[in-house]
Amino acid sequence: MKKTLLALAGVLSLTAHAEMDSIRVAVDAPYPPFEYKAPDGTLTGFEVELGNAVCQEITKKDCDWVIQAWDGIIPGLLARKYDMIFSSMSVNEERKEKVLFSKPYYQVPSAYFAPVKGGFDSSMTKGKRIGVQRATVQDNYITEMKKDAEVVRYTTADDMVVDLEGGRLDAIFVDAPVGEDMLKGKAKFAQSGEMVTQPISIFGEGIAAAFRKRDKDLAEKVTVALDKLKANGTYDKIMKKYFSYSIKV
Amino acid sequence: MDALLALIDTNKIFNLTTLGHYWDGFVMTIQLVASSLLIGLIISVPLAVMRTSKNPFINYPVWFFTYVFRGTPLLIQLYMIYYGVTLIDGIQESVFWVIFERAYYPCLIAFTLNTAAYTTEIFRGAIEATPKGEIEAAKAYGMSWLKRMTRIVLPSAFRRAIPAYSNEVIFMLHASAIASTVTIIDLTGAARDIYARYYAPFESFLFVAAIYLSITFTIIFIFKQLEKRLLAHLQPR
Repeated sequence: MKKTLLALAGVLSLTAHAEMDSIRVAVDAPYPPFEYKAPDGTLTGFEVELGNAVCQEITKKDCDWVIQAWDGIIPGLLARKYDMIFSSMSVNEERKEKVLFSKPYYQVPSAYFAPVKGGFDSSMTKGKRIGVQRATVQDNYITEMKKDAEVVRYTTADDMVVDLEGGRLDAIFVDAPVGEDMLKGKAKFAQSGEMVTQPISIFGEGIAAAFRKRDKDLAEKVTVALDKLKANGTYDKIMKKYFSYSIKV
Repeated sequence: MDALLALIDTNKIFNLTTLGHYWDGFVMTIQLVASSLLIGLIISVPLAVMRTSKNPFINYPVWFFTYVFRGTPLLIQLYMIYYGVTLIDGIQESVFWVIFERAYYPCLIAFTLNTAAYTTEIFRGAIEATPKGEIEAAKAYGMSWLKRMTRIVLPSAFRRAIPAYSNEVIFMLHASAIASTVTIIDLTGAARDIYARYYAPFESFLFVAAIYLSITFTIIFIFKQLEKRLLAHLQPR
């Protein structure tokens, strides 16, 4: 009797393991090309594909995606609305106080985008109106390094682009691929100046998945899965679909 | 005072920088609400008089204005004005762009028109509630329409409108929170910045709610005093 029970328990725990629930993952979409809705309504993008690959490694299922606005994304994680953030979140000290990060999985440069005719020069920002998304590293960079500029903070990237097109901003400062994608086909706007990745004190070590501090186990599993995907070529395959340059770290 | 400074020293969120940010937001809120209320009040008086006119060509345009601005959400009105103007061809090169480039004036215009619409209707009600006897007496004295309006109807209508108008002032204060949706850093905008920076929604919004409450109580107090003075004849003895 004891043996059968033990065996039963063993089988149960095995099936429980195999039938692991899919991981609930938060993204702030649209944030192309990292996460956005395809014309048919499905969520796609670099992070969505990479995230699904990671979830497949761990649970043999795609992730259970939750769309969450950026400014509530950490409170939502802490409130257990989802278990992981996979949404271009840079590692920095302030966030480390609230969440646990995996190993970084990519790093993107930031860049200015401005009207072609405006003659915006990032070395002369005195009195210029520069749009950023609130509480991003770009926000910190402009606030700390370009004190002579006027920072205009937006809740969503869409609103920011609308104001750039409306002529209300001299430039926007965003993740380079995001800016490229948002202004695709708009000949009046172009990247202005060099891409920016320094200083590390602001831009951090890179982009990583975030977890609740007590979920050490899950964070470890995701780091292992990411390492495996980087080594076996899956990561490169997904990256090449979305980027002409390398963002791998 | 020392205890307060020590508290500011020890907590992470409410340091001098963020308190300064809240202060700027406070100034912006007061400035926006006060100017829109003042301009709205000035506009609404002639509109209310027109609104009580029996001539449909005078009455209906004003009716249409108040109907539209009271019948649509303030947020939509703000979006229409803020984002709408940028779609006008060549506006960026025109002289008007000085006004519309920043979010402040579009916001002020939206708030002003909105409060003007509500205040017009408040005054219209007060004007129409003028006792018939007062008007007849004024007519019997041979007063012209203008004299009747400025000496009899409007002064008593303003007094009657005070309680309803104090509500409008408080609603306007609360509605001003939506200015933060178009990049204006008012009290709510400041709270959003600090919330996003420290991931502390409860602290930052609770603090700002306390500030709104104090402003509201101040407004209520002022109107209570006003009512005591101006509506003394209606108080029970």
